[in-house]
Order: sequence, then structure tokens, then C-alpha cells
Amino acid sequence: MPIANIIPGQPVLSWILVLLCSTLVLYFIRQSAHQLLDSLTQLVVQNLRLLSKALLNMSKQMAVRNRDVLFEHGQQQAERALDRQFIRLANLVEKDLSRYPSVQRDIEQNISSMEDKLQQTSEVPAPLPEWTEAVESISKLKDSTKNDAVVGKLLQAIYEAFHKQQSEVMNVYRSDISKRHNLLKGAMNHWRRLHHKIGEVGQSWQALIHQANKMDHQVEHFENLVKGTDKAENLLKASSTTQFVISLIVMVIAGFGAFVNYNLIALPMSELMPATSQVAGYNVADIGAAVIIMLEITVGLFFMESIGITRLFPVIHFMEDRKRMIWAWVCMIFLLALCGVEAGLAFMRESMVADKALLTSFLVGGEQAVSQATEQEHSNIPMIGQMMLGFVLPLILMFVAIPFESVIHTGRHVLGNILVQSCILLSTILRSLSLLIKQLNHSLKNIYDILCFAPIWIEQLIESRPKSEKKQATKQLDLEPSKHIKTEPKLLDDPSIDEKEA
Amino acid sequence: MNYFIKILLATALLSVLSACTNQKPSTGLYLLLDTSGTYTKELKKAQQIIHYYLANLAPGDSFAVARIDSGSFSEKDIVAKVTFDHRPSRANEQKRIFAQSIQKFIETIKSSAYTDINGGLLQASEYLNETQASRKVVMIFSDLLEELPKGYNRDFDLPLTDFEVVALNVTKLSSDNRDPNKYMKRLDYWQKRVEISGATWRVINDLEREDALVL
Repeated sequence: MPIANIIPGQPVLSWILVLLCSTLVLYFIRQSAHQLLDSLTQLVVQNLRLLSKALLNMSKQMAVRNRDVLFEHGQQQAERALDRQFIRLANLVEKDLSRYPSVQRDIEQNISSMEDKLQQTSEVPAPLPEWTEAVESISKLKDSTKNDAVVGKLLQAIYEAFHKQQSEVMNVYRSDISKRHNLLKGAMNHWRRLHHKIGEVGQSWQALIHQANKMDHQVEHFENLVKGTDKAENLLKASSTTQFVISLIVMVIAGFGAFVNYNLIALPMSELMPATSQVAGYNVADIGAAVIIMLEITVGLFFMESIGITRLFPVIHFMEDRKRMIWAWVCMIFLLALCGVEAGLAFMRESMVADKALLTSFLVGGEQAVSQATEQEHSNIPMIGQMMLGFVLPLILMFVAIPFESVIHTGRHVLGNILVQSCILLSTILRSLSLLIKQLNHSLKNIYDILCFAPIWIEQLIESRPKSEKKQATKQLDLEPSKHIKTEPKLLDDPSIDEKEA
Repeated sequence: MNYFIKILLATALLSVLSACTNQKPSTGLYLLLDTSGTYTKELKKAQQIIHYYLANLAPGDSFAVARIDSGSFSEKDIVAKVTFDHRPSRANEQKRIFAQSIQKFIETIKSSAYTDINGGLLQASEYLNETQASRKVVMIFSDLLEELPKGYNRDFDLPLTDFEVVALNVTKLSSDNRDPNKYMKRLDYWQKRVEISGATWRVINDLEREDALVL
């Protein structure tokens, strides 16, 4: 029955009656409706808060785990760096110490040579003849025997002999001095050699000191890592993120290289594998081409591992050096074999393309077109280029091992960090949602009250009557305690809950 | 026990792989050439179409060309048939031989007095079902005017479920020009006959449109 016909012929009255009734119904069930809304809101809000807390806890645990992983990786890196520094230091010391006996012998030889030379220079030349006293006594004769011609002649002879002797002595002296100078010149060479040797030793010591400083730095870094300081963590975080991004870029470039390689060998692989079979919707020949490329990358990975550039497989890394070298040679032989296979496939590809072109010519222009096409001169450059590409690309792809290792090691931390941040974000969103639902509950209750405002207003009027009337009313209410129920539970409106939880 | 588990796992892995392995969807194409009356003049066009499909069919596909003459429900009417090898180089060689045999056929063709299209369609369905191709296409290069010799019964349902039937170069006869209803009725008749048998029907008259010819 339509609402307008509740009171026949009085649609307005009918509507008013319905409105009054519904308002009264809403007023009488107001308390229950509010309780229902509160219960539902409480249920949803508590669950959201629980989820939010769980996510926060998870993010905290993951952050701790990430930190551990980061430090573990950092320590490994630092250990490797320290190892390398120690090896360099050992090489330096070994090289210098092996040279030390020869340097020492050289220095000693130089010193002894210099001593010899000095000794030779210290030899005093023979003294002048002791005839000066005789000359002096003859000169005294001059006073007693004046104008004695004999004495004069004698003196003259002595004078001449003296001069002659003096010049001879001077000559001898000069030659002695010259010899000494020559000897000293020879000593100078020894001195220079000695100086050079000492300089070399000094340089070696400088290099050693430099290396020791580097090691000090590394050890300090390692200690920071072991202690787990914030500075070390920040450094590691920045470093690992940068490495991850760079490695990822290099990996993407390598991916393009692999794609080119795949296109090079996919067509000729259809000659080797059944082109009519498929696995999971992909041609077996295409899968074969992809597998060959993956095998090349894997062998390259093993090769890089065996020569100690990467450390992805501990089994290979901890092999004896001799075995590791054998392993490296085996990997290189396999890799070269695969390169050869690819070059062959590239050659086959070119032949297939040429055959297809001939068939097309035949179908379009018949035998005449084919003979014309075969008569034309063809350049071998594309074929040679493809073959070279087929040989070189696997060798280039081998180097993917380095960024791959970096991505594996740093990716764990970077992805972990992203997960932590996502958890925190989700937790915040859930918390905001819970607050929103609480506010929505308040709004819904207010809207409900607006719908039945008239009875509530009357109730308020009754409640705000003078005290005497109110007391009487209260007494009456006391007699009926079941009616004295608060309409709004304060559980959700209590702000202390939020404060406590915050 | 561990050994047993390993064998079990290996068997499971092999089973999964073999379950994933399947044959690539292949195409079976059967081209019926009308050799009746003046229509033989149109066969040069048919040769171009054959060359087009030879260039486009892949290893594993099947291709047959048969003529429509007085009694076409016969293997003798198959001019050339081939299932291409999975090796592209071998498939190319097969295509060359196929093209040569078609060339020889067109050079030596003689007109037939009657046109048994239904017989040809029946032969086509038989051949294509044998090839087990995942996509079966029958092309009729004809004016679609069937003329049967006396005593031939072609009143049967064609087994063409999941087939695609394409009518190529359906030329208008001089009588069609006088009364186009005949042409329309002829096309309608074949469309209904083909569609009732469970196949799809298509007409391509403009053979220059490569996109229409694509399988």
C-alpha cells in the first residue's frame, strides 16, 4: 500500500503520520543504534590498529635484519679490501726484503771503495832533501871570506840546484795532488751511488708507510663496522644503493646485448631443433637459442669466479689454487667452444637469409630472377660482421658476472629497505583509516540524532526543568533503574585511548 | 628412501615438461582450382596466389593444390601436395619443387567439361583431416558454378566442421551480368551450404589486397 494512502484521501496527513512514527521509532531505538554503531566501529578500528601495529613490528624486525645483512656484507667487503691491502703490503715487503742483501752489499762495497780511496789520498809525499842546512852554513861563509869566487860559484851552483830541485818537487807535488783529486773524483761516484741507494731505500719505506696508513684506515673502517656505528651504517647504505643502481644499469645494458645475441642465433637454431615443437607456447628453437645464451653467461660466471673476481660460489672460491686454475681453463675452453658455435650459427643465419631471398626471387620472377640474383656480386662483410659479433658477444656477456654479484649482494638490502618503507607507509595508512572510521562513527551518530531531533529536544527540555521537578522525575526514574541507561558509550569517544596508544 | 624421492621428483619434473611440450599450431591449406571452360585463363592469377602462400607458409604447415573437374572427389585431381619439413632449408627446397610442379600443371592444363565443387570440397576435408592441422583452410578459386555430369550424386552434408572456406576470384558470368540475382543466389547457396556444415565462409574478389589473403 502506498504511504500516501495510509489515511485514505489525506496524503499530507499520511506522510506526517509516517514521519512522526518513524521519528519516534528512531528515538526509541536510538540507544541500541548508537551501541551498534560503536561496536562495529570498535571492531573495525581495533583490527586496523592491530594490523598497523603488526606491520610496524614487522618493519622494525626487517630493519634490524636489513642492518645485520648490510653490516655482514660491509664486513665481507672490508675483509676483502683488507686482504688485498695485506697482499699488497706482503708483496711490497717481499720485494724490498729480497733486494735488501744486494743493496746492503752494494752499500758496503761503495763504503769500502770510498775508504780505500780516502786512504790513498792521505798518503804524504816524500819530504824535501835536507840540504838546506848545508846551504845555510855556506851562506855564513860569505861573511868571513869576502869576494871569494869559489864561494860565489858554489852558491850559484847551489842556487841553480835548488831551483831545479824546487821545480822537480813542485812537479811531483802537482802530480800527487792531481792523483788525489782523481781518487776523490772516483770516491764521488761511490758517494753518488750510495746516495742513490739510500734514496731508493727511503722511497721503499715511504711506500711502506703509505701502505701502512691505508691499512690503518681500512682497519679503522673495519672496526667501525664491527662496532656497528651509525657513521659506518650510513656509509654502507649510501654505498650499497649507489652500487645497486650502477650495477642495475650495467645489467640492463647487458640485457640488450643478450637480446642482440639472441636474435643472431634464434633463426639458425630452427635448423638444429624442431621448429614445429613448442614448450609452454614458445618455439623449441627460440628456447634453445635462449638456453645457449644463458649457458654462456653461466660459464662466464664460473670463469670469473674461478679467477677470483667474483665470490658467488664458495665451493669454487675455496678450491685449491691449482684446481681453481684447472677449473678456470675448463670454463674458458667451454666458453670459446660456445663462441665458436655462435659464430657458426651466425654464418648459417646468413646462408638461410640468402636462401630465403633466392626462394622469394624464384616465386616472384621464376628461374630467370634466380639466375640474375646469383650472378650479382655479394659482399661478405655482413656475414663476417655477424660471425665476429657471434664470437665476441659471449665473451663480453661474461663480464656480467661482476654487476650480477653486486646486484645480488646490494639488492637484498635495497629491496629490504623498500619493503620496510612500504610496511611503514601501509601502517600509517591503516592508522589514518582507523581514525577516519572513528570520526565517521561520530558523524553518523550526529546525523542519526538530527533525524530524531524533536523527541531529543523534548527530552532535553524535560531534563532542564527546575530542580524540584527534576528530583521528582529522578525519584521516579530511581524507582525504575532499568530505564536509567546512558545512551552513548564513552569507549570510543575517550581521547585517552588514542593518547595511550600513541 | 632419498633415492626414491629423487627419482619421484625427476619423474614429476619430466612429466611437467612433457605436459608443457606440444606441437606448434600448424596450418593446412587446400586450394581448389577450377579448370572448367574459360576459367582456365584465370589460372595465372591462381599461380600468383600459390606463390604468395608458398612464401608465407611455415615449416610444419601443409599445402595442397587440386583441380576441380568433372569428378573431383579423387586423389588423382591433387596436382601437388606437401607438408613442409621442420628444417627451414629443406622446407625452402620443397617450396621450389612445389612451385615447379604448379608451373608445369598450368602450362599443360586442359579445360574440363564439368565442375564438381562439392567433390573437391569433400576431397579437401579428407586431406586436411589427415594432416591433423590445427587450422584448416579450403580455398576455392572458381566462379562457383557447379555443373555435374549425369549420374553423379552430390547431395550430402559436407564434413567441414571448424574449417575456413574462402572463395577466391568469383568471376561474374555473362548470365550474371544479365541477371545479377543469379550471382547473388549462387554465392548465397554456397555460403549456406558451407556454414551448415560447420565452416566459416569468406569471399575475396580483390586479389591485390594482401591483408585479405593473410592466413
